[in-house]
Amino acid sequence: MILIQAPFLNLQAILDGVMIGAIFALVAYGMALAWGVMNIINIAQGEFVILGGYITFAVYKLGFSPFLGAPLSFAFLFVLGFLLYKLIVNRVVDKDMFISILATFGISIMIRQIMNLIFGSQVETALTGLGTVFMFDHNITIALVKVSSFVIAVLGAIGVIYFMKTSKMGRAIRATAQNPRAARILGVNTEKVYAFTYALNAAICGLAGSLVVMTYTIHPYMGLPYTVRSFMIVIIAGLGNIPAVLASGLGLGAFEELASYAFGTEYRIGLVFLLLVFILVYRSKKLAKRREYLK
Amino acid sequence: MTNILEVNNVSKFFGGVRANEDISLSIKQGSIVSLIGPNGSGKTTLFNSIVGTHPIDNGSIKFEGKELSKMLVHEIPPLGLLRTFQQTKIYGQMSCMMNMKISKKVSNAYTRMFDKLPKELDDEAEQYLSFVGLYEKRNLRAGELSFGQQKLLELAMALMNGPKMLMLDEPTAGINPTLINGIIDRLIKINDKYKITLFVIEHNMRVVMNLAQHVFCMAHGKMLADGTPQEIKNDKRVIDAYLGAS
Amino acid sequence: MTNIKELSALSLLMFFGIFIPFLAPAYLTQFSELWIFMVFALTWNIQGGKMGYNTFGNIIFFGLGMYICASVQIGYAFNLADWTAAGGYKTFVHNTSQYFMSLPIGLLLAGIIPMLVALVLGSFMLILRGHYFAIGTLGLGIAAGEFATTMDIWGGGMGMTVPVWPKVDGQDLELFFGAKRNFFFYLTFILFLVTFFTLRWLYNTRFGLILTAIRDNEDKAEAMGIPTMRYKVTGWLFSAFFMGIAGALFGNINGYIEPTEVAFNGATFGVYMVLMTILGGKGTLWGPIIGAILFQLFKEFFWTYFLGWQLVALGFLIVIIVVFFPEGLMGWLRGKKPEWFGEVVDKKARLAQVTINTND
Repeated sequence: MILIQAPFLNLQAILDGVMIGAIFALVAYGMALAWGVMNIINIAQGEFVILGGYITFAVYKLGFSPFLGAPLSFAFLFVLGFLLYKLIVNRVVDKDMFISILATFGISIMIRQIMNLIFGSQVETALTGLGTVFMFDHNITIALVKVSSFVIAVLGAIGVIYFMKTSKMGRAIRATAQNPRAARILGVNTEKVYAFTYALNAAICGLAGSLVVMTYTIHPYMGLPYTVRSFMIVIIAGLGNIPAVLASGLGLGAFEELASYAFGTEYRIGLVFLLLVFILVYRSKKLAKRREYLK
Repeated sequence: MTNILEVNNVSKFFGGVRANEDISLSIKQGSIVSLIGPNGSGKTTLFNSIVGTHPIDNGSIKFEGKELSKMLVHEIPPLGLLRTFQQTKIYGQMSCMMNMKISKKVSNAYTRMFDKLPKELDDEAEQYLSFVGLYEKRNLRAGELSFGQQKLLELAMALMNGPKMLMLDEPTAGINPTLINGIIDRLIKINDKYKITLFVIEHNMRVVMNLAQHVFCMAHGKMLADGTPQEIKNDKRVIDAYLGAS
Repeated sequence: MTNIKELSALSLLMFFGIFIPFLAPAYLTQFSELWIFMVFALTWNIQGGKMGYNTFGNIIFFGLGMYICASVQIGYAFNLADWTAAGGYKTFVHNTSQYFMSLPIGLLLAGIIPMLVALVLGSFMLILRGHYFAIGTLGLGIAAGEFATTMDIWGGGMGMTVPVWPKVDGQDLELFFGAKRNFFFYLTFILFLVTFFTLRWLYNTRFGLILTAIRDNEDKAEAMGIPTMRYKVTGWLFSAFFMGIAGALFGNINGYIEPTEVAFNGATFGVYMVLMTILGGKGTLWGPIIGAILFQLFKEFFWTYFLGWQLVALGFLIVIIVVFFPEGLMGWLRGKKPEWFGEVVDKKARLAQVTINTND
């Protein structure tokens, strides 16, 4: 099979996979935040990513370097996330999870269609002007933009984690995640925490999106796969385990690249969704042996 | 008198916690037996072990001679063994009558899945609801009953299923003290009239004294002592366990 | 619940179902779509409303039924691969006998094969609960569309056309009630009626009661000896059957089948079925029907006046319904008039925050 016969192809796939995997891990971390703190599974996660990509794309189209778009995407999505929380999400935070899934699904449809109307449905990318590095006799190509986005993704994650550990809001968020009622009694304004968390999640997605448009491509309908990827990573890694999120993200990226090489790129998205089903079923069957189920 | 339930050397560990360690007991058919012990002694875990809520790590559980430990939860009630829950479980959005009708033990064969509920079921349901005193509430949504009423409903549903043995997890917990006598009477009547063996977890010693013919006491996951209510009441080990329990 | 209200509602539907082709032929497609939407909602309700298992995957059966029926219709007379490769109905034309012999077989298989698929999928998907089931079925639904895009025999991403209504002497064949549009209008209406009466029967059996027991407390049901998996999967078989045939009919009405936009469109149809049921009221028999009617009205309104923005409006509608009307119209009605639902409300008990038991 092609995977066994072509070691360089494998290595290329793994390298590419790891580099995009960091972006997956970043988005997954954001989803874990919203899930862990407010018990919201944000179906619009992917749309936040793509929207962040479009913001950076707009910056690029205006003649600036896409790297300048990254902080802009972060900020824009932060504000948007905050607004969406205040208008919609805060009404479903305390309800059945299916209600919040449907509500964020509705938000994702709205954003997706608005992006389609404003930006059109062609695939876009933002060129950074960074070159490529060749290794091993031109058998391995490393696009420098992928390396830089990997670095930015990791730095972004470290930044957020540092913020969570040291800042007052960060501590408030962690307290609320552990026990909202206790946090409220101790004086934490949980409403503010929730709004900030949702906004922060959106901002993280925005940052990820700006990396995506630089490194790959975006398209209004490419959101859902990102949502599904981050969901998968969170299920595998668990809500509190940051190194596991990173590892799962990198692993997923590598899996996707390898699968694309093995089966063809047209199967990529389908395989991502099948992997989701596989992970869920596998996990459930393992729990069923102990007569438990995924909660 | 045969043993309807035989538990032999059952152990259950949760990670490092020895929730049940080498538990053995047997219950005679037709008797009323109580299981007591301080909080955390592993009583509910033992119940869960018996009815298959979780697999056990060691030992054997026989109901009327049949080995239960490898069976799934839904395979056990057809054999005649039912349990009620410490946190009452009922079908909240359905009426009490519907709760009752769905509790009747019937075949689940594909040819029988689509049977209409027979009219006689209504009469039987009403009979049991009257027995527990819920007749007037029979058309209310189960979720709208008070806590105590839900416990009674759960009991009625269990009776509807026609079990040979009922395992009750704290049937009087949270009930208004003035009503507990009524429950004790009903339980004795169930045992006497319907010939149902009762295995009851209880914290209320008055209930235990008035109800049980035999008592098992657990502590720290192990079986501590057993005997008649009088013997247990005066057993130093039991007293120490309750007083020393943290 | 055979009462005046139900009877009158049914009569009204029957009236529309029989006379629309003569009274309002311009709206035939919208009405055919309405009957299909009713089937969407009625079948989703089996899992989502009655059983409490919110599925985003029922679209799989719809799309499968669509492709299977078309494949049978085409394969009966021609070679399927040739059809999709060489222009479909433009190149290959069915004659009357071919058309009307292949269609029933296609419809039958469109019902049966999705049932088998549901049997297999259900054996592991229905182990999942709550939001894991929801997202898992979402994944399956979208994966189905993605994989259909790679199937060249079905025309891949471009899709394929379905057989054209047979012509006699250059004119569309006219049966006593009309031609293609009328024919499929009546077929979809019949499908809706069959679905409705089947579910009406089903919900009055023990099976229906077990579905709601699973919804209210699945662990309790198991603890009372009910083998829940058996009932969960069987419920899905019902949905698969009707959704498969609905898909087959829709494919024929639409004229062409495209994997992600028509057959396995999780983002529109997949969500519509959820939305309609919630709008009308989950868990009731008529809720989905009312929801489908209301939704179709909204949709036609939006499509006409908000062209371009209709999907944005859809997203907005989802948010509004889910946030402000999660119980739907029937739920609102149930709160106001519980007697209509055979329920008794103890008003005194409801008003009292703390009930003191005085007497048993």
